[in-house]
Amino acid sequence: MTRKHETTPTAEVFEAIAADRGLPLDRERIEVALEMHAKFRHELDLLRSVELSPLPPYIQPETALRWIENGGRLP
Amino acid sequence: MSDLADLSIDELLTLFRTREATPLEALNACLGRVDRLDDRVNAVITLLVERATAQAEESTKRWQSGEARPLEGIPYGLKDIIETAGIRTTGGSPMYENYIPEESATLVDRLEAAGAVLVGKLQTFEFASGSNATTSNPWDLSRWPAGSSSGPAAAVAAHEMPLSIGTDTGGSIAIPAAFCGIVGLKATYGRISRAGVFPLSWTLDHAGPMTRSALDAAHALGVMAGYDPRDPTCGNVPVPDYAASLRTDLVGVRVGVPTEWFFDVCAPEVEAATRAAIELLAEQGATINEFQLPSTRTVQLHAIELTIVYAEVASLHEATLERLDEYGPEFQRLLTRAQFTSAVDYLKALRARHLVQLDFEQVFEQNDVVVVPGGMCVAPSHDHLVAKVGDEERPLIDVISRPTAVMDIVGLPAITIPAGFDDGLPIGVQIAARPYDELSCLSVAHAYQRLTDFHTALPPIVKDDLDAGPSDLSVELPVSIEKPVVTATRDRIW
Repeated sequence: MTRKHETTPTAEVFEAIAADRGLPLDRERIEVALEMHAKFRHELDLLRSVELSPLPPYIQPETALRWIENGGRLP
Repeated sequence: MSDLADLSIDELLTLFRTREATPLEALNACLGRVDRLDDRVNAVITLLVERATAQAEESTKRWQSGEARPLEGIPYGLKDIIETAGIRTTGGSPMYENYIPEESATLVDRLEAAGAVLVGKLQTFEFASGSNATTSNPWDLSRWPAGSSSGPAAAVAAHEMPLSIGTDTGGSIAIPAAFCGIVGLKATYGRISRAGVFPLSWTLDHAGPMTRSALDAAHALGVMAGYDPRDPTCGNVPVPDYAASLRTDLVGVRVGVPTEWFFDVCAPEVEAATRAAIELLAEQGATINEFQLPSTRTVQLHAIELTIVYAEVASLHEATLERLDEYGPEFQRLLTRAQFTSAVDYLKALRARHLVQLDFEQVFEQNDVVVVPGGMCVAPSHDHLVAKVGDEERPLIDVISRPTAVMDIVGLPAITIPAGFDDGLPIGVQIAARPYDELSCLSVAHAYQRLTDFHTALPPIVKDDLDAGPSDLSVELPVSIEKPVVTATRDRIW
């Protein structure tokens, strides 16, 4: 399944997020964040569309660390 | 004609052993080179003349008394995100311009215990991110050296010192090594302790030596590698004697060559140099196997890299977000965007990276190493930071880490070595291997360097300095020099 995003965040959305978290970001900084987000959005959507199984043995962040420690294989 | 500043670690150790040179003489040669060239290169942010001289005097005595340690008397520099007790560590940030740590990073303790002589702290981008243009590429001073290990790469390329230590989150050792025509070894994630190293992204940060030969990188790695309880991600894996164990033949070595991703967005000159290097390995008896990366094709490596960096940088700098104005302009942009990263996206990135690891697990069932481009282009101009791919110009931030960030995402060891030139600018190739198999990377790189001379070519600024004559320290230097942190950029990538 590939999810399709019809909208991108607006300055008001980012301002609401910033307000909710108490971030000290004025409108100018919000615009910077939006600009960078817009450039990145396509790649992010593709990453979001990657399907990862919720069933065991599911991948956890630590799976990658075990793989490295074990020389490029899982124990 | 060359002087001691032009010699490799291996050559210096031989001369010290045979009493043909002393560490103090080697240090003075390096300080002389810094004195004459660094006003143009600007690789050094803090120069430690008095401290280094005292260390070199002790090293000289140790060689005389038969008590020399593995890197006794070797001059080196540290990227200035690596903490040094009693010596300011700026992180490349105005926020830490006067920060003096009480303890040194573990990797510094290990280098000092091995007898290496700290010449100075070296320029970096703020917290190892961005494009800060205060350091110039010794091959062409109008060009960018890349970064964030900009000072470490430029210092070694300008023959100001034979060894520097860099760090790599998305290519910060590999790309400056490629652009500056030196060797950069990004060790396996967890191979070298990062305790005492300013983080950019704890999931992706790696450390490693930057030198002018693979053999020198082996000397340095042998000292720096190994378990450290101060770094919770450090692996408890035995450390071989890399320098003594290097292979010099390539017969039977299995070399993987990608059919996708690495060459998809790559300057033709870089691809040609990479393929020529592979051909040379084959001529020497290596077996070449093409491979594919099916998951890597779909998971969006750049999105994984940026999402992880955004989330972790936001978390790391949460306590100082209210002082956002005190950061440099590029880091302000990064930190601002980073605030809008969702936990779900971050966890997707952390989980998806294992899919890329599984691709490489398959690759290393058939291969001992893989050979891919180092930088995907040559060094751009300071004033126009773009990636030139054929006739096309691409935004640097979109493509520059394409061949390198994958090594950080997967956690593989990867060494970048010089493999050619395009219009006088160096081209680098990377050799990567399984986690903790730095020895295979180093061996193939060493064998390649015995067959080629790209790594011994001199940048024009060094040639001119040699041609100018006497190369001893020509002026009395102050006990130390501390330059201000500068975060302004001529062009920017964020």
